[in-house]
Amino acid sequence: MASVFSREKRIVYSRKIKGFWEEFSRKKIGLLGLAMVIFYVLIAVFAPLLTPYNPLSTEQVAQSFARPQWITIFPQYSDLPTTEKFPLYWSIEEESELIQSYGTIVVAEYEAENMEIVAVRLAAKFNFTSIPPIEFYFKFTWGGNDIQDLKYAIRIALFTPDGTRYSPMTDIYLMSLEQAGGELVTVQSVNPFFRQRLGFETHKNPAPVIFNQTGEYKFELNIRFQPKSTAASGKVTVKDTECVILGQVHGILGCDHAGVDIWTQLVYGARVSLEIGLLAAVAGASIGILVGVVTGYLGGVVDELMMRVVDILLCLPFLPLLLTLVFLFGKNIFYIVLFIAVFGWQGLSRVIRSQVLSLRETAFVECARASGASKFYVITKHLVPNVLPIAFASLVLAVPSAILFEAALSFLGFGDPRVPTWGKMLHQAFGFGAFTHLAWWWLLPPGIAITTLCLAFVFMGHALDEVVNPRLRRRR
Amino acid sequence: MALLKVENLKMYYETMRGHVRAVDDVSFEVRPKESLGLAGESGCGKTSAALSVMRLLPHNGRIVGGSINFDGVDIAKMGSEELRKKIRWKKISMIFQGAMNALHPTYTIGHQIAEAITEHEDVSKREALERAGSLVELVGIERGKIDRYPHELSGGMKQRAVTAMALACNPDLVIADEPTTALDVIVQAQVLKVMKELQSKLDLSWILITHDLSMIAETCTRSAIMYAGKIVESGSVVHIFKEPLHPYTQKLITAFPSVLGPKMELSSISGFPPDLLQPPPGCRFHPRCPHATDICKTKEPALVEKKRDQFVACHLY
Amino acid sequence: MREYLIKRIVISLLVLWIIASLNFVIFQVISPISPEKTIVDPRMTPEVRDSLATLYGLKDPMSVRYLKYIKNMFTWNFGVSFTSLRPVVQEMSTRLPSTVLLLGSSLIGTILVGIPMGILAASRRGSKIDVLAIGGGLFTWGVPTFFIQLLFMLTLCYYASIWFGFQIFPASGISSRPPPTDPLAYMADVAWHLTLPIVTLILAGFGSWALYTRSMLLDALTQDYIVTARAKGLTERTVLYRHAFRSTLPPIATMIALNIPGIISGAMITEWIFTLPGIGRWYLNSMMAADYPVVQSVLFIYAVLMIFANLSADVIYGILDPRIRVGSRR
Repeated sequence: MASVFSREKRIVYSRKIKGFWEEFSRKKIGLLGLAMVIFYVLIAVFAPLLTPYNPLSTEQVAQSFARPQWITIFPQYSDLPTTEKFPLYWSIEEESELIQSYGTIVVAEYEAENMEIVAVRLAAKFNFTSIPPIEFYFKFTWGGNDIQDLKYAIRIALFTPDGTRYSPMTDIYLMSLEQAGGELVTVQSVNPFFRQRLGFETHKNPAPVIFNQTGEYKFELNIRFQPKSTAASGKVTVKDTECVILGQVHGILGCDHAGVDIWTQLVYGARVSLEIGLLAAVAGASIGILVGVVTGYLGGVVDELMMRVVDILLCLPFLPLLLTLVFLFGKNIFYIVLFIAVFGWQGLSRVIRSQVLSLRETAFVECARASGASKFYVITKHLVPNVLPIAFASLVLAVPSAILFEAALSFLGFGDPRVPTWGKMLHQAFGFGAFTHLAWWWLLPPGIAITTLCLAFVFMGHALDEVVNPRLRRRR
Repeated sequence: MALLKVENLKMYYETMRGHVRAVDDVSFEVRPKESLGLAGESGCGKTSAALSVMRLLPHNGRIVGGSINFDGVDIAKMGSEELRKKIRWKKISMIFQGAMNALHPTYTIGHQIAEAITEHEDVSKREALERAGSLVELVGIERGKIDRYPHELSGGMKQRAVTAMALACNPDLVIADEPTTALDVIVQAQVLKVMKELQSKLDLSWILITHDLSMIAETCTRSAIMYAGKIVESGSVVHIFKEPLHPYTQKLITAFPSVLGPKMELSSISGFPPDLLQPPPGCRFHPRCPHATDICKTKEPALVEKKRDQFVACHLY
Repeated sequence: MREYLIKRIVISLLVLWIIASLNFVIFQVISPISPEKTIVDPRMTPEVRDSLATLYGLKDPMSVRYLKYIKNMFTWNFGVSFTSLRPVVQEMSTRLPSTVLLLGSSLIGTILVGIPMGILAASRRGSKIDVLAIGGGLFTWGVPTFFIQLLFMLTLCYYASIWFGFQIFPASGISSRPPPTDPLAYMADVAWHLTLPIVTLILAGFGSWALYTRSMLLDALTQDYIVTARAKGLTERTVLYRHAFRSTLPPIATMIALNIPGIISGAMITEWIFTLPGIGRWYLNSMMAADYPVVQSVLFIYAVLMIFANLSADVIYGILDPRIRVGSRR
């Protein structure tokens, strides 16, 4: 018997859903919204496939404020290069027995024969053919093993094609410490100490000066050993040397102030926005439905009290209060979603409540009561299913406001710093000079993304509203 | 010479499912100083016919045929601006069904009556309000009440106020659509009394639209019975009531039990009014008519004058 | 009307009391920071600290502290700012005018643009205006206000200075430095600085007003009294404005009340973006500097502003709806 009943129910439900879909699909704007939402969901789901980078990584992939790569179609930008990486392959300049290995890993082993300073020299060449860059860096890993009574120094110099020498590129001077393992050194052209070391003033950019010509550039590696006693010995390793000329264009949307890819942030931001929006909206809607149904049905003191509470909550300025709560309790995404949900339910509860009030007087509810059904039964079996359509429409409309709330919060700097959201992107853009650099590729995408995602839900919600709201249906 | 002569009026509502033939080839006339009672069931098209006369139809209502001759001019073809200035309220006015909602909630009734006056006549606001005061007195409302808002008046008072408003510009014809439907019996009697007084005092023509035949019997001189968008019988009230010709009219009259007469079983007309989207072929009443014959199912009867001042559309005659 | 007003005023005061209590609960009871740290700061002189301690009853039991707190809020005793070491009320009085100016002008501007658009849209269903109004309304729902402002700032300030050599509108501040001495020139200067903020706020906000007015008006046009008005031979114009629109005025007044939170949030963000010296930006800066007395007070002031706006909306509603204004004089 029970199974037959539920099969009937299933037929009824499927017919209802089909009917609903027929009406909904007649509204073009709703379909457009749905399509846009699906588009963003796909982006969110396939994010790892759309970008090789990790959204929270701070790795610099191109110069700060690098433009998008496709801008090279335009003539005035056609010769802007992307990032070029030159791994250095060391070859021996001066023959020496100390060099145990060369190439990508250079190992020099020293054993004291006398108290003289001994040095080894290697060189690595690469061809540079682009326009003068604005930023570059080079990095390497060095380490000393089994160092005994030994001072050593690693010196790297750079020669331009026309012979100009820039040195020292590093500042790893005489060491006499035991060093195990590797220490990664990154030397950036934006670093003021580096600039000073090379003889530039701190505000002057060495990159275009050093790399002002095309041709063969040469790095020279000099390892000097200074024994402190005749028993001095040790092994020095230099490896993973790489010279990176940071591109002036990169990727689909260029880079931010720290040279981090913007497209990655945008794509993962879709995930976060959808999650936050849906979570907050669903949580808020659940509370709203619950409150609306219970107060509408029970009426009396409960109803009055709840309505007063709702009135008061409507009096509170949302954003300032939200900011305060985040400020006090920490910038945690969980709290943020919770707070948004807590603020979002009043409007829905009112709508549900009025719907319940009119449903309460209908025949089938009276029948249920008359046949002895408990309040709980009436609420769950009769009222809730009938308010779900309206609740659904309001829920869809609640998502954009949740997204906008979170975006505003992040924009003002109160979002969770561990979460990559579009609002955070705008916050950084605003605060780190996107304006002064006219970096439209940083400012526009997140804003447009927020706008289009919200509009998608608004379109859907608007169409849904017209389908399920009985009042609006009588449109002439 | 008729004041209003409606000839072969056809008015349809355009809906997504087709044309609803609310008024289908209707003809009637109202002579000066005469009152015509337009009777019929709900949904038979009487209100639609009235709205057509004043062209107050909703967006999807269209007059697709016939003429509405008022004082010799076909107002169905008149331009809307001319209609607004010359005819509406000035020559023809209307008392709507459900007067409760016919009044604007945020203006006093005096203002609303005066508004009609100042729109059509060149008088000052003060004078218009003076006249409004006199008008409400005519219908039995205290003069001072013109400063009241609609929500401060009772149902019956609102109905009378709307009646007063209809008389504001001394029209030639007043159409009263179910003026007493939403009121209780005692108030109904009051309103009727007022209307009868007005009839005798003023030289107006009336069209009284109602489903209550007894009201027509009390107040009108002539009557037209409508069914499913068509006129089935019309003529002088005395004749129709004494000797109803059309089966529908006969049933209508017997359906109203007489308090004074012998106790009878309530008689009603079996069946339901037809769907005006696809009305039955031939005579529209044939599905419910006890005297229906084959011809009734195929050919529409024409409205003919069977007796002196009594017209009927039925194949029996 | 009188009873209605009294009732509304009493409720407003009640709500204000509840909000002050909420403030107390948030800052003094459930916050993870100890209550003293939200009132006094080591940078203050001992005298100031002592007077504040007595004012807020820091050594008293919670019930006494609660009462003192409420009393302080209602008497504008907001304590001393941690960052400036001056009374909060004093600091607020220099900043409040800018915010009120921004709030007021954007509210009025939004209404003046949104409502006529809604009326036009309703009276010409299906026309270009109608589509524009609906589009604008939906647009408002989706676009973050701050994004519009960033866009405008980018084009009219930064790009403009590249293309034209000067900024069409200033990107920050409420007046130039140094401000012009002539009062008229000063007002013009302020107006020029506020143009971009206000215009963008209006742009972001008019849509919902237009949509709401439009739907209210469409609803009103289906009412019986509209048919009556037409039957009376009144012009379409009179019917639209004096009858249909007039009956939508009371709900529109309610709409003002509902819109206020959004306007306050929008103004806060605007002050931040355009670096305007209002209480919004002060609030944000104070949070970053952990200046608790300021944060509490600004929150309270926002609530006061909102309640005041709600009350005004209620009063306007009462005036517009004769059922309340006159009651029933049978």
